[in-house]
Amino acid sequence: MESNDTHLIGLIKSGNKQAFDEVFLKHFKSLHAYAFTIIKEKDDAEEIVQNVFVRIWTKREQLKEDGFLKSFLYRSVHNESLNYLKHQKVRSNFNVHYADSVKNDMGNLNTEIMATELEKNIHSAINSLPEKCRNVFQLSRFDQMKYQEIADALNISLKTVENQMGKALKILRLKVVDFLILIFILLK
Amino acid sequence: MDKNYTHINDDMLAKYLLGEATVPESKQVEAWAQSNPDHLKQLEDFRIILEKSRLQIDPELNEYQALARLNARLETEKKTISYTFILRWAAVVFIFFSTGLFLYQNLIGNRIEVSSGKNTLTQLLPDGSTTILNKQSSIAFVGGFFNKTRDVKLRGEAFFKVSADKSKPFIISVNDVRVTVVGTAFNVKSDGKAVVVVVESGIVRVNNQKDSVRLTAGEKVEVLKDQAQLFKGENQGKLYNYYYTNELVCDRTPLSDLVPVLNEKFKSNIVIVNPGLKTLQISTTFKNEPLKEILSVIAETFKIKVEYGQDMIKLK
Repeated sequence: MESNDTHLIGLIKSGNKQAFDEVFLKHFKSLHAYAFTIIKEKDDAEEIVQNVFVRIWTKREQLKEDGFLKSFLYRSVHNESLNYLKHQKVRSNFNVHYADSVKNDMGNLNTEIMATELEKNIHSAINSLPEKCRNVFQLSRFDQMKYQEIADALNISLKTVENQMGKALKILRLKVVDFLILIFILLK
Repeated sequence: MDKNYTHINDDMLAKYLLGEATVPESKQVEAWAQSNPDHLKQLEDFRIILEKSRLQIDPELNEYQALARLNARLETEKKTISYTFILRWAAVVFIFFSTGLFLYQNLIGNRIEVSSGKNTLTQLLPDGSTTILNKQSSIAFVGGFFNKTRDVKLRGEAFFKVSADKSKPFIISVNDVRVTVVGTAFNVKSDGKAVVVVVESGIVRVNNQKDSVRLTAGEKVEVLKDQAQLFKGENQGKLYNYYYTNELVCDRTPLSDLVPVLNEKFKSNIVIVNPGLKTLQISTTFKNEPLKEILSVIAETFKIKVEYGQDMIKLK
């Protein structure tokens, strides 16, 4: 099923709009959800996914056929989201200030904010995983794929999938360990 | 790690949490977790990470509507792209042509070579100056952006009305004399022996290899070949400009000055026989009158005789 995707890149490259639409329909929801975990804005998340697909279509001649389409899409959405946040930062300085003063009034909001922060940190940590590791982990977590499906999609052995998942968890735990401790305390 | 659980590692924990482990494997992981609080903590951390890294798909999302919105945007994007595309090429073409025009005007368009034949010739020069060539004269002009000066090579006689441009002096080379101007009107006349410069307005500097002189309006200089020093003098009347005004303006002009001009204008051969007549001065203006009429006016003014002979007119 996933191996078709690589073939789709070639079709898009040659200007096949149907293939492009197909890819969009197939991945829109998960890409939207992914953008949402980073920027926490529903409408803007759609705009980010749109930006990525507009760029893919207008610069389709430059697409690389050897890449794994799904992880390419996740990567593009991630970069676009970070870009968005960079532009937002200046605008939101006021908002953050405002939010801080409100937060003191509502103590239990802390837990929620911490949880959101943890999520954000996990996602940026995922994005910095080694490529192979990241591909496996994203297919498992973002697309709810079973080990066997991942192995088939990436054309690797089941054992490699197991190794990469274990490796990913180990790395991620090290990167977000501080947050995990806080979460633990707050949840108790 | 405990000896009993050597095969429990990160890979196994991941398998367990994701429901990929076999029943005996799961039991071993659970036992491992219970055996040590650190183990339990590690397992819980992994569980949180796996949970938090899941994407929360928004159930309200409709990918078909999203596709419609994307396509609408692609349409408008296409228009702006083709618009900027056209604009870019228009700019390229514009730059190309204006560069070409600039180079043409300054390299080719700013050179001109003309000669007058049997008639006088009024010629507009590329820098906006005007020149009027007397009969049998020629000039070559070189100016433009890539030259520091406006150079004119003159043979014969010409009147110049030079357009002002202080950064590019207008230099006329005639025989071995150079006339440098910034913006003025003056006449330059040359034959085998001498060069005569008469200034109508503005300032002109005239120099040969040895000397130079500044002329202002109404002044003239006559330079003989290899003359060591240049002397400027007052110009009497406006005889010099007869060929472009078609008027002979005499203002206390001696007969010796008027006769050569008449000979030039009418291709005649008038000779002053009596040397005493040479200094006689005349003040009048002739307009388009035939030679015969002019000579009769002169004869009447000075009370002298005009004798029409073969190829020669004698004044006595």
